Parts: sequence; structure tokens; C-alpha cells
Amino acid sequence: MKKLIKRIVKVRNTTEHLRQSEHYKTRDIVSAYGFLTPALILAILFIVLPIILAFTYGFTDYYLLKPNDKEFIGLDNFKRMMTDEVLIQSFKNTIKFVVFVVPLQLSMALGLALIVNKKIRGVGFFRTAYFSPAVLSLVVISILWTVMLNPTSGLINELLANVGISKQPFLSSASQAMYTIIAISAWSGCGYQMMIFLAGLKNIDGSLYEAADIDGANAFQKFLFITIPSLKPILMFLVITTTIQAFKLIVQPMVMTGGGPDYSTITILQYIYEYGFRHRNVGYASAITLVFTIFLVVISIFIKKLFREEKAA
Amino acid sequence: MKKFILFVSILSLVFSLVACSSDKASGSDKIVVWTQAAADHPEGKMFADRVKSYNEAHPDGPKVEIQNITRAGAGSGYIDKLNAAITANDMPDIFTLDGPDIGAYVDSGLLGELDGYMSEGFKDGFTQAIIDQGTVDGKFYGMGYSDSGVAIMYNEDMINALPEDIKALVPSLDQDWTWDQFIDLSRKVDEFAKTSDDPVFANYEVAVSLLLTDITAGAYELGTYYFTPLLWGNDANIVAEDGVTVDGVLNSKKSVEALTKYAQLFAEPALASATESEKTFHTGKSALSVSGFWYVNELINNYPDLKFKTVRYPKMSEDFDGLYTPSGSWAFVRNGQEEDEERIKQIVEVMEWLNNDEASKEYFAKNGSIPTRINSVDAIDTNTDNPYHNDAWSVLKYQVENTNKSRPVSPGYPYLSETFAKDVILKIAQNKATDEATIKKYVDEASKKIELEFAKYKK
Repeated sequence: MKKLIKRIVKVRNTTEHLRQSEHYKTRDIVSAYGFLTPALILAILFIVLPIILAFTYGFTDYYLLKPNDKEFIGLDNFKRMMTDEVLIQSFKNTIKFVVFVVPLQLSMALGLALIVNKKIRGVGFFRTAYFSPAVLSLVVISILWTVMLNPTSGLINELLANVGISKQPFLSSASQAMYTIIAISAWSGCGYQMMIFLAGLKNIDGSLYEAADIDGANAFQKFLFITIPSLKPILMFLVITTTIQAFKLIVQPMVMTGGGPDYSTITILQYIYEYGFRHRNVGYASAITLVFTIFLVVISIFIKKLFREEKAA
Repeated sequence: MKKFILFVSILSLVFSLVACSSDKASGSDKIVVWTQAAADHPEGKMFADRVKSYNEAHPDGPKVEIQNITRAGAGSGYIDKLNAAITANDMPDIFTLDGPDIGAYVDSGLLGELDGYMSEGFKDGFTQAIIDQGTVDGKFYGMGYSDSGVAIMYNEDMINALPEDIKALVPSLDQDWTWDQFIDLSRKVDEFAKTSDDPVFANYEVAVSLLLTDITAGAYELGTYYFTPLLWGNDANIVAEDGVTVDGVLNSKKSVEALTKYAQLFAEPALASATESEKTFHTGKSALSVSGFWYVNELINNYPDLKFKTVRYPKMSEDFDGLYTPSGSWAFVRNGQEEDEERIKQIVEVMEWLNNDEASKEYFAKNGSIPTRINSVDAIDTNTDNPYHNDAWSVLKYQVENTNKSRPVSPGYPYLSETFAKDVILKIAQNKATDEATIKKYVDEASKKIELEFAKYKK
């Protein structure tokens, strides 16, 4: 009998505990959702909804001044993209920028990180100096360089003239403008990546270099067989982030060249902005956005896959 | 319970943050006015003063409320807010638009016409260029509160340093001259400046400042505003009368002829540059300048050492006797979605107050806005102590009264203007294209692009 009572009490206690914990669980969930709701609403309003709207607008002739007069036009916007010469040019320019700026910027960042990793006098100053462009606004940087690169009275041409090099058109030449923007972008962005590389360099075990010294390795061999492999995870992270960032180029060409000369520096994002807001053709701009987003997602997946394969190998 | 209250509070806070406030005044007893002027700029202040005086003079009428929303860059800021209001169907009763944009807003059914609501003779009080700017398909929609003007300015010290035979090429302020004469003068100035030891040419860079750098920076409208008159003065245009046909107009023989003359400024040795230095004319780096009316106050107030003289905008063809000088500016329009006739009358009454002869004079006095009313043009004082001010305003006043022409009316004007400025005017300068065949190619390509974009207006 005693045993039975004990069992009943035990079962009752367990049920009570379960009931209490269920009650507690429900309250927990409600409050969790309560706290999540503001962020969810904002995310839905400013991220999810615009993506859905861009998707739907891409199939319409939405003109900003006629918001209530949207018509479904099927794939017309996408067909137009195939023959839009400026869009094709902007795509080529964007690819060109990415192909050149990513290796250039990362090499510069790594080079600077190697320099400031040395134990030399005044290294703190150089570290700050190299990092400082990263904290400046891109608009400010673009304006400063536009003035310095002025073909007639710019500082850079004055310096070139002093060493016997003829004045260069830089931003006013269709053949030089994109390379000039690439160089400026790499210069302004490499400071931030230098700091990340520096953190990676500090984490490399010094005994590896000591062992290499004993084996008679030279500086280049140590760099190639110790530094680079040790930095590989950081390198891959920076390749992914820099590539995505490079595809989103808009500020520099917008401020420095307006996309010219002769559309030689116009980028996809700038073209989307111009069509959506300046020309008010939201439908067409949305269609381009849609295709560009899919393209970026594919690129990201490709790079990530490459990273995983490298890791597995 | 506490958590529930917290949850509800957070939700309310979020909704209050994301909810858009409404200024919709329809059916209320206030009339809302939006302008693109910054509130702390003289232009914003003059509008605020004008609205204040209306409210004081009409204590029993609807209260007028003004919002000056700063325009950042070429139409952004203010235009973004206006676009948002259009999308939300929440437009103000009265708002400002750049004159050439009126066609696009009318085409979208956003503006209400003013004919039939204005006092008798009120429209006729505007100068012809301002009436044309605000008229679409024969109906009047926009009351321009300010006109504008472009003239040629020259550095007096530099011109005085020239030999007499070159100096004689400079016209007087009441003389017409042609683009050929302008190029000829520029070429001779350039040749002399480059060989002269005179200190006045110490900073000399180019013969003519054209402000093309502003087009590169995105101020496309400036390119169209400054240089469409080249075509007008040769009896050509950038778009046909219907506002949507470009092929055969922009790339017509006369257009190409005019643009080829413009291109001679870039023939080596170049007389102008697409990448001129900042404030080229202001800082004595060019002898001549194609200058907007805003230069007058800017030079007098900020560059007091610069001695500048002003002459008329050159004609492309000597025989041309129509209107050809740049004009136009921002205008007041009314919300076309308002249907209450009584309210429309009240709105137009406020618009008249903001644009009548008295307002026009006030705007010139407070902000240097060129009067748009025939009876107010005399407010431009050309007898001050400053001879440079007097010369400049004499020329601009003459052009306002006699030769100013409004820019074309087209539902796709922004695209038309941008393409013309970027793909023709700027491209010629950047590529130093001076031969007729290349220029014809540029205008053909630009026409094709615009026609493609304008196909929607022809459906």
C-alpha cells in the first residue's frame, strides 16, 4: 500500500511538474516572440517585402509617377536586358573591376600586414596611417582623388611632370578611368584587410619559422610554405567578402566619373539606381536587380564551395 | 501580465516608428505647400515669408502651411519625398517642380490644370518663356516663380591685355553675336595667352570655361540647359513638337551642323576642357565663360577682385530671328487629384499669391530670382554702384524680355535631357570629336536610345 501511495505521489508530482514546465514553456515562447517581433517586423518591412516587391515589379512596367497603373508585361524587361548595350557595358565594367581589384587589394593588404608585423620603430604610426583610409567616407575619398587627379591642375600630374612624365588624363580617359578607380578603391579598402591579415600573422606559431630556419629555408620559401598556408582560412574569408563588396561598386564611379567617359566606368548598381530613381522606371530596374541578385548568390555559392573543397583537400 | 504589457508596448513603439505621418490636406481647412528650397536658405525663407503674409492677409481663409524640403544634388531629397508621396497617394496641395519636368507629371495625371481657376489676365502677366514652360498640350499647369539666364562673361583684365585687333572682336553688351565669332575670339585669346608674359595670364589654363565637370558629376540638366540653345539658334531642336519624336530631329542635318560648331572648342589646341579646374573662370584660369545667372552674385560676393564683363549668349546662325537663349526654372504646380472645385479655387488663389507681381519682386530682392512677371522685370536694378552687376543684369534682363526660350516639353524629358547631355554634349568634349561624321554617329546613337525609351509614350 505504501508503495502504491508513493507511486501515486510520484506520478502526481511528475504531472504537476510537467504541467508547470509546459506552462512555463508557453510563457517563454510568448515572451520570446514578443521580443523578436520588433526586429521581425523591421526585417519583413525593409528586407523581405522589398525583395518580394522587386521580384514582382520585375515583371511589370511600373513607372514611379504612375504607381497605380502597373501592368504585367511578362518577360519584356528581361528581353530588353539582352539588347541593352549600356547594361551589358555596365556588367562588363563590374566584372573588370572585381577581377582586378580583388587580387590587387588583397596583395596590398597582405604586403602592408607583413610590413607592419615587423618589430621596427614607429610601426604603430604606419599601422594607423595605412588603416586610416578605411575609416574615411568613400565620398570624401572620391572627391579628394578627383581633385588630385585633375588632368590640368591636379597634384598627381604635377608630380609626374616633375619626374618627366607627361600629364595623364586619368578619369577623363575611357581607357584609364576604370583602372584609376580600381587603384583608388584598392588603396582605400586595403587598410581594413591589412588589420585582419595582421591578426592572422600574429597567430602563426613562431616555432614553424624556427624549424624552417634550421632546415635552411629562405624568406620567400618561408612566406610560401608557412605564411600563406597558415593564412588560408583568413584569405578565403577575405576573398569572399571583398568579391561581394566589389560587385556592389557604386560610390566611386558615381562621384568621380558619373559612369563615363563613354560609359567606361558605369557599374550595374549605378545603372539600377539611375533607371529606378532618375528615369523612374522601377519595373526595368527591378528586373535588373533580380537577375543581379541571382548572379551574386551563384557567385557566393561558387566561392563557398571552392573554399569547402580547399578545406577538404 | 507584465511581459504582455511589455510586448504590447514594444509593438506600439515599432508601429509608431514605422508608420508614416500624413500631411494629406484634402478636405481639411489647411493648404499644404512643399518646396525644394532649404528652410535656412534665402529661397526657403522668402517662401516662408510669402506664406506668412498670405495667412496674415487672409485670416478667415484656409491656413497655408509650408514645408521646405531640401533638395540634395540633382533633384534628390525633395524628389524622393515627392515620389514617396505619389506612391502613397499623399501629395501636398501645391508643390514645386523643375519646369522641364512638368510634362512628365502631367502625362502621369498628377497635376491639375490652372486655366479656368486663375483670375482674369493672371496668366498673361508671365513672360512668354514661363508660360511655354508651364504649358502642356495647350493647357497651363505650372506657374514659374523664377526665370533664369545664361550669358558669356569675360575677364576684363585679360581682354584689356590683348592687342587692339583682338579686343575689337569682343561685342558690346547690347550687340548680338554668333557662335563663329565666339570661337574666333576664343582662339585668338588662346593663342595670345599662351605666348604672353603678362602676369594677368599667369594662371591661364583654357580660353573658355563651360562647366562640363558638373555634367560629369551628375548635373545632366545643366548640359541641356546650357547647350540646347546651340540647336535652337540654328533652327533645330532635341525633340519634335509632339515631345516624343527624336529621330530626325536630334540627328537632323541642322543639329549636327550646330553641334559641329560647338565641337570646334575641343579641336587641338583645345579652347575648352571637359575636366577644367574648380572655379576656372572665378580664379582667373580662363578668359571667357559660359555663365549662368547665379555667377553674378557669386562673383561679386566671393571674388571681389575679379573684374568681369558680360555679353549676350551667342546665336548659332546670324539669320535666326526666333527665341534661342536658355531660360526656365522651378515652378509651382497643384495636385491634380483634388476634385473639390471650391478647394481648387482656394489652392489656385494661394498659387497666385505665391507668383504675383509683388511676389516676383520680393523673390528678386531676397534671393536674386529673376522675375517671371512682365510687370516685375524692372525690379532688376541696373543702376547700382557696381558696373559689373549692372552690365550682367542688363544683358540677362534683355534676354528675359526678348530672347529667352523654354526648354522642350516632353513626358520623357529627364531621360531626353540626360542622354543629350551625357551622350552628345559631354561625349564630344571628352573624346574631342570635332568632325561631322563622328558627331552624326553620336546623335544617331543617342536618338536610337531615346526612341527606344520613348516607345512607351507612343503606344
